[in-house]
Amino acid sequence: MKVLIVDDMETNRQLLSWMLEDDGYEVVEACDGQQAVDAFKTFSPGLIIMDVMMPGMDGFEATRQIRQMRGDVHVPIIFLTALNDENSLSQCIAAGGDDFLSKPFNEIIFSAKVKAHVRNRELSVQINEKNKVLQQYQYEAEKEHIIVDRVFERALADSQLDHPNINYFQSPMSNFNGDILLSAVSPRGGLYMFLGDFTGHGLSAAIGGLPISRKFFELVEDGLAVGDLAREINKLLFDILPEFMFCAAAIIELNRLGDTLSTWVGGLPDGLILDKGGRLINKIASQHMPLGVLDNLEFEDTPQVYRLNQNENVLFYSDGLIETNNEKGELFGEERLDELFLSGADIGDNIVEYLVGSIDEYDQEGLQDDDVSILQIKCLPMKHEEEFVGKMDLKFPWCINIELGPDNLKESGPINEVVNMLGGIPGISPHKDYLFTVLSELYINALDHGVLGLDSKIKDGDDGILIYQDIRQKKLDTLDDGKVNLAISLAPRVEGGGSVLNITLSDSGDGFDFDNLNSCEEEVHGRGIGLVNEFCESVLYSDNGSKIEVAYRISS
Amino acid sequence: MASVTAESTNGSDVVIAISGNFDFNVVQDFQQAYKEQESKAENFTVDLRQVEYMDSSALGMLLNMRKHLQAESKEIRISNCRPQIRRILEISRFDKKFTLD
Repeated sequence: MKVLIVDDMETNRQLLSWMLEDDGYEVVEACDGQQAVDAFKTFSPGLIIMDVMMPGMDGFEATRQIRQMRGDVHVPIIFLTALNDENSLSQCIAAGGDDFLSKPFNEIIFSAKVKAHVRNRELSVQINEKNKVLQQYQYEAEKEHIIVDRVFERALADSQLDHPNINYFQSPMSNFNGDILLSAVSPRGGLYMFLGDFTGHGLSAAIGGLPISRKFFELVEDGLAVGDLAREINKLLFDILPEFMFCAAAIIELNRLGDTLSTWVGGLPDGLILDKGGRLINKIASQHMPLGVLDNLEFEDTPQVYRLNQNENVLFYSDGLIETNNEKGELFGEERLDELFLSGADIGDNIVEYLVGSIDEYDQEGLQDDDVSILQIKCLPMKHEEEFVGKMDLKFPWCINIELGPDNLKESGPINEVVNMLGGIPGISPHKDYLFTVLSELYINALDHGVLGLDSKIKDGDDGILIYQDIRQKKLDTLDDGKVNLAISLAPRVEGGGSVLNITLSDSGDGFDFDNLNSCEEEVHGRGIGLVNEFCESVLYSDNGSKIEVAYRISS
Repeated sequence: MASVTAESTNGSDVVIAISGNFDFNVVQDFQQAYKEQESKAENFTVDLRQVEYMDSSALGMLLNMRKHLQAESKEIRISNCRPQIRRILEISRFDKKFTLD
């Protein structure tokens, strides 16, 4: 370490140099205040021995200037002075000195003081270095948090938590939430929800939410039952989470009418069913282990199904809620929570607000120990969104011709294949369900009544359909003649908007009396053509009924 | 491939679930499903969650089921229809004859 000696007397400097060099320090000398300031800048000494009275700038002034330049690390300054009145000594400290020694001084005391201050200096250097490392860590952690935050935001962006049938509250105890709340509209117009609580909190707990949200949105699109959802997510978590980590969860599906709730609950506190005044009428007990604990063989996917009345509410929450402490360290507890809904008073619809208010009142200090989530599900019929219609514009005309001979007719499912093909065209894909129905009606009519010459009246009577099936199968098995022709052409951008699919089906049969078609509601047969009429703009028979042309409009 | 399964949750409620295409290929399985359960079951639910497509023979099968069970005044609920399937049922006025949810 470098020590700066400031003294106008050459002999003093010499003496000090020897002593310090003997103790192993490197020495730099200055003979007045100005030189001291300059040497400080040039050599950055770790310790300064400062004389007070010097020509030009004195020791006090030099000390003041050096103190102003000092960086992050402490540089001790020891005054060496012939003055020993109290006033002078306190001036030394006031100027920014750390210690003083009166001349003439004792060599041992001097050496001890230097050692002590060098130790201070070294500690200060170490602290400074550690600070820098910490700052770097902090900077990197913040950078990572921002990135991870964005990933979470995107992963959860699909969640439809602003749905009118949901009210919720979430309060993570740190930056990242170990509780996860997801919601998505089902393909049947109902609503799926997922409330999960991972072991622990913070980022390490929240991380499991990423794969779950992915899987959840993917499975929901397929319209799986809650038990199957649970099984799939459990499998995923079991595979990727470390053993000590799992996820207590409730997976819930509310149907479109808002009167049937299917749940799979594992490890979460009991859900509550509340009447329309918010009074507790039933509980939904957790029946399973949390997700990620059991392997697929041991896993149980049995759901619970509840029938509910309009305006009732279902409440689920994570255990952080009942583990809230008051100032005496007492837990809020499940009993206290139940009591909130057992007073008999009408608390109305704002159950989440009521609950959050009650907890805040209990926990005056507001010290949260765990992530808290509350989910209120309102049992109301859902507003049915307008059916999705293809936004893709169809621009070009095309046509498909298919001729099915006896061998093809024996195969089942030609219509499936055609519909799957059509469904691959983005503009048509939303219509494939209806197209299946239309094409299937036309095809079965052509095959059954045209080619095979079957009479629907056989279907009447108790086992009519089975008898019909039986005869049909026999005729089909022995079929060696006959055919069905299917032609589908697309007319894009027709008058009136959208495109039109013209579908023509003809068969080799003798035709039928299409003027006398009757569709009686109670008959088991004969309603197919009613569906075709409903879905198609025009239906035209020709060739004695052995040919039918229909137009199906694909609106934009 | 299409399939029909019947499950009884508590003895009196029976859920018949169809997956794949609900068309004449499942006639036999479907009839068998409710006939086997009718003696002990009070309420039937036909779960169409996994149905991809359906045609008018499915409507015929449902009507047959209703005819068959009506004598014993058992309730039939059709559940979990996708909007498209639901529309097909509504066009045929099935919402008047069955409970649709």
